Amino acid sequence: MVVYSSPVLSLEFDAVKKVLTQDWKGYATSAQFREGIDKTVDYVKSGAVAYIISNTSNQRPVGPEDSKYAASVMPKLFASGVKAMAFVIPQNVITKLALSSFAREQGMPPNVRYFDNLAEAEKWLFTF
Amino acid sequence: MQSFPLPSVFEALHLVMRNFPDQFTEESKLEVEALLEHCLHGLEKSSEKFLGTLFIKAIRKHIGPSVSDENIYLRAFEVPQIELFNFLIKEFPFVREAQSLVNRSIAQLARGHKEVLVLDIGIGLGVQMQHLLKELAAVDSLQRVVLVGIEPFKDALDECARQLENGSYPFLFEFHPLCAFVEQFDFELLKPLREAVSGPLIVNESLALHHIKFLADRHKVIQKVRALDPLAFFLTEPNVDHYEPDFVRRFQNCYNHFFHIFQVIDQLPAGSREKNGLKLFFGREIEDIIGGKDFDRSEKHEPAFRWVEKLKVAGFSMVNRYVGLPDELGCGIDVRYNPLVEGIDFKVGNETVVSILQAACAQE
Repeated sequence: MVVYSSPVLSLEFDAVKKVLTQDWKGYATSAQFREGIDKTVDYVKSGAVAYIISNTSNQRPVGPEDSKYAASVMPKLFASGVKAMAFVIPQNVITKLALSSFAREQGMPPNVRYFDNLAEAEKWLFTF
Repeated sequence: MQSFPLPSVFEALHLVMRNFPDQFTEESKLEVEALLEHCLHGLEKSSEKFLGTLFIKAIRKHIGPSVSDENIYLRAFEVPQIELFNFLIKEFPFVREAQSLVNRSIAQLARGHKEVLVLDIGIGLGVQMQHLLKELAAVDSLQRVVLVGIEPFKDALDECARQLENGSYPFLFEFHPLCAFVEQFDFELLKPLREAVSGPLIVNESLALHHIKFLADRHKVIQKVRALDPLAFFLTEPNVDHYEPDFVRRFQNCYNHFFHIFQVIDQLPAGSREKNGLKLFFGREIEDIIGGKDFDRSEKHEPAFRWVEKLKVAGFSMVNRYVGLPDELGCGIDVRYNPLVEGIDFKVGNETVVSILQAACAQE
């Protein structure tokens, strides 16, 4: 079920698996990116989400301040019942660097990991 | 901390540089920001990141202001100019050893002569010539050394004159400082000196000819040197094509060149303060090569084979009369004779960073 859609982000929730999937697409302005992050937090607060997959494979780079903003909401996600979060790493070279800045910011807890594809990401999530 | 393989700084920089100079959209500016953020984190411990930051600094004026200011980070690595200059001369092996090899070779050529005339193009503060005079002091036959120094910067030339004239020499020594850009210099002025000195003329230039902006002027200067009929003409030049008009190719050449120089800096027996200060010093060259407009750039290096072409066109032939090639320089530098250009390569890995060439007047 698609719970949010914008030109840069689609949020889809699988109620059976309790997985919320972020599918990022292309270049997002700072406002678009933050709105997507906020919508994710809002949906997670409903309490139904156990796992998040953030598919950044087609995402274009985000700025350092927006990376920090995304890292800052991670505690809220886990406080709302999320057990684990998996990222599908971007193809874009510089988005990879931006994601590594994000990873550094949020300190790499054991329930956050990065994968090359969705299938691996999902398989790992369900070990939690 | 990272948990997935990251691309190299060069790979990311290469993407950014494709937008230079006037295709920086909001999206590509974000790319620069993301790359800069990556580079600024731990740049003091990573030559690659330091280099990446210097390249972004070099193109900054084409991108506009940003959230991260690399200057704030880089300022912490500044070292006073004079301290850096001394470090460069004494510790940086490319300059020290290249000049030392040339000086030994000049001294060998002077052996057996009572008089010698040395012309140094771009004499600067005269550091190499001070060392040369020490080498020449050991040449028993010499009774008179006449040195001509051409230098466009008067302050440097005045200081050079002071230093040289304070020296004591076992031969009669004359110094003729000539303040001029070599491409504007009237070489006819040297003819009386040439006739007044009984021994050979030896011409040297170290890291000077690449400052001549136009190729035609480079040819002319070399032809004018040839017309003086010197016994030898020594050139010490970085072996890299920064004359390249295509920006992306010039960026690739520049990155590759300084990447290897930074590998050497990392291995110098010095503290991180001096090493990072030296890297920052080279940032000014990168700024000129990458950030400068073509007509006002001054660091227009050319690879050795192009200097060889110019020398041969002017009527020189390359000669192998080097004396005392160093066996081991350390810091990953390999010094060897290169039969392709018939000169000496200072190599780091597969990259020749600096070349020394020695030309003599070809037989008619």
